[in-house]
Amino acid sequence: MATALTAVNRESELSYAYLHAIASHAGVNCKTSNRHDDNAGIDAMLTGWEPFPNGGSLTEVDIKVQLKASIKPPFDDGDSLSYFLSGTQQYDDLRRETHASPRILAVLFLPPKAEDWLTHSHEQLVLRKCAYWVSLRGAPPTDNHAGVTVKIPKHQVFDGTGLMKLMASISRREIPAYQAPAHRVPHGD
Amino acid sequence: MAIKDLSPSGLRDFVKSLGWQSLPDGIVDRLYVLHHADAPRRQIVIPMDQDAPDYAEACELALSKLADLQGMKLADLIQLAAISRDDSIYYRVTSGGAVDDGLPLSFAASLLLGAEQILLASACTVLRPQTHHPRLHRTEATQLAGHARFGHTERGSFVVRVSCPVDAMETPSVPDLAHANESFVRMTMLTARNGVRQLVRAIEEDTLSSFVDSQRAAASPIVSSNLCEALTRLHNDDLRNNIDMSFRWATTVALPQDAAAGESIRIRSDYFGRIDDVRRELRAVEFDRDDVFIGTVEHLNGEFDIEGNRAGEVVVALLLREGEIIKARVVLDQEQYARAVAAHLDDRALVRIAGRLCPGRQPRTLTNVTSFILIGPGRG
Repeated sequence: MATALTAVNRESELSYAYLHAIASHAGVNCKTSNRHDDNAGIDAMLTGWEPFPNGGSLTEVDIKVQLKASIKPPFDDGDSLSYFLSGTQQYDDLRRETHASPRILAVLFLPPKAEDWLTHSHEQLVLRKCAYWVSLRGAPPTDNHAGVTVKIPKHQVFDGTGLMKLMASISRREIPAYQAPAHRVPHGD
Repeated sequence: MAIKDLSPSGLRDFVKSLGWQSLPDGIVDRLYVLHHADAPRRQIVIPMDQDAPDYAEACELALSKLADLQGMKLADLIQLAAISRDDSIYYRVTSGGAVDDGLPLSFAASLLLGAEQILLASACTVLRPQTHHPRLHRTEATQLAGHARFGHTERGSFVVRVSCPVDAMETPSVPDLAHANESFVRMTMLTARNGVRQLVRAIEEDTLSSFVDSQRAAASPIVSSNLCEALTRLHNDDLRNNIDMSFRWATTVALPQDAAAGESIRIRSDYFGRIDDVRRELRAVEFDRDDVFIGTVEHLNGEFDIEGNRAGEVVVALLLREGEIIKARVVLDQEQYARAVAAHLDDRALVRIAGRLCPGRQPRTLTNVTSFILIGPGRG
C-alpha cells in the first residue's frame, strides 16, 4: 500500500529518477530493487550492450549500483567530494574484490532546499545538481562502526558518456578500483 | 537445490545444452561467457568461482536473463538447471474425468511404486535381458534406485518426476553387458524408454502378438513382464487416466541419435489392459513349481468349524531362492493351521512348506501342501 513519502524518500526517489533518466538516454537498461525498505542490498542493476567505445570481449555488461542522495553540501577538496556512508555493511559489500559482478556507489547531491530540487516549464524539466559515482573495490577496511567517509572523484560525473566509458572498461574486464586518498580513509564523526 | 549449490561448470553445460556457445576465448577473467547466434549482443555470464560472495546472485542474474530469452519462468529454469546432470523420466497423469480435486491416495502410492519398478525392471533388463526377472532387487538395480529422486510435481497437474544423476554409480562389471563403457543410469533410462516405446507402438500398430513372440524369441528382450506390471500400476480403472511419459537427458552424456530430446510417449487408458495381457504372456513361460519354501505367515483367513477348530486359507510370504519375496495363498488343515497361528503370534517364527507354487499375479496359489512345519527362532 502506498504511504506518504518522507523527505528522505523523496530524495531517494529523485535519485532513482536520475538513474533511470541517464541510463535510458544512454540505451542502458535499469532495473531497480525494492525501494526504501531495503537498505542492505543493491538498489539497481544497469545492463548495457555493445558497441562500447574501445570495448572488450563482453558485449553485455552488468553493473550493480548502490544509490544514495544527499542534500548536505559535500566537502570539496578540489579533486573529490566527500560522502559519509552510514554503517559498514554497505561499505564492506562494495569494497570486496571477490565479487563476480562489479558494483559502484552513485551519490546524487541535491540542493539543500526542496523547492530547488526540480523545476519544469513547457520547455524543460530541470533536476538541479548531479550524481557522481565511485568504485570502492579494494578500499581499506574500517573499524568505525558508525560509517565511513568516502572520496568521490569529481570527474566521475554519472552521465551517459561516463556510464558508457565505465561499461567499456568492464567489458574489457578492467574493473575500476578505489583510489584511496594519500592519507588513511577518513572516518565520519 | 539452491542456486548456490549449482556448480559453475554444471551451469555452463546446462546453458550450452540450450544452444548457447562459449566465446572463442573460452574463459574471460574467470567468467564463463556464452553467446547465441539468435541473440546478437546478448551474453550469459557465469562466474567460475563458487566461493565468490555474490555467486548465487550472479547465477540468478544469468538464469533470469536466460529465462527471459527462453520465455520460461525463472523457477522452472532453475529446476531444470538443478537436474541438468540427471536423466529423468516424467509421468504426467491426464484424464477425461476431473483430476483437479486430486488423485486417490492409493493410486498416487501405486504410481510411485510403478515408477520405481520401471527403474528396477529396466536396470535388470540392462544387466540380464529376459522376459521375466524373478528377482527385481538385484544389488546393482537397487543401488540405482537408491540414487533416484522423486522431483517436485508441476503446478496444476500431476507429474511424477524420477531423476537420477547420470554418473551416480559405476557401470557394473557383469558379463554380457551390451555397452560396458556407457553409463549404467543412461542405459537403464534408455531401456525404459525403448521398452515402453516399442510396447506402445505394437499396441497402436496392432502387432502385439508378433511383438510378444519376438520378445520371447529374442536373446536380449527389451520388454519384461516386470516392466509391464510396473506400467499397469500407473493406471487407475476409475480415473481411466492416460500417462504421458517424457524424458529429460543429462547434458553431460551424449544421446544416441534415435533418442530425440523432448519426446513424449502417450500410454492411453485403454492400452493398460493390453499391457497386462503382455505381462501375462511373458510370464506364461513359468510353470508350476514343486519345491520346499521358507516363509512367514502374514494373514490368517481360516474359519472355525462347529467344534471350534480352525482351518482354511492362510497368506504366506515366501522367500524364493532367487531372493524375491512373494505372497501366496495356501489352504491348511486344522493341524497345519494351528502351526500357522503359532507362527503368526511370534514375529520371528518361520515356516517351511512343501508344496506346488502356481504362477500368476500375487498373491499366488500354493497347492498340494505335503508338509507345513514351524522352524526358526520362534519355534520354542
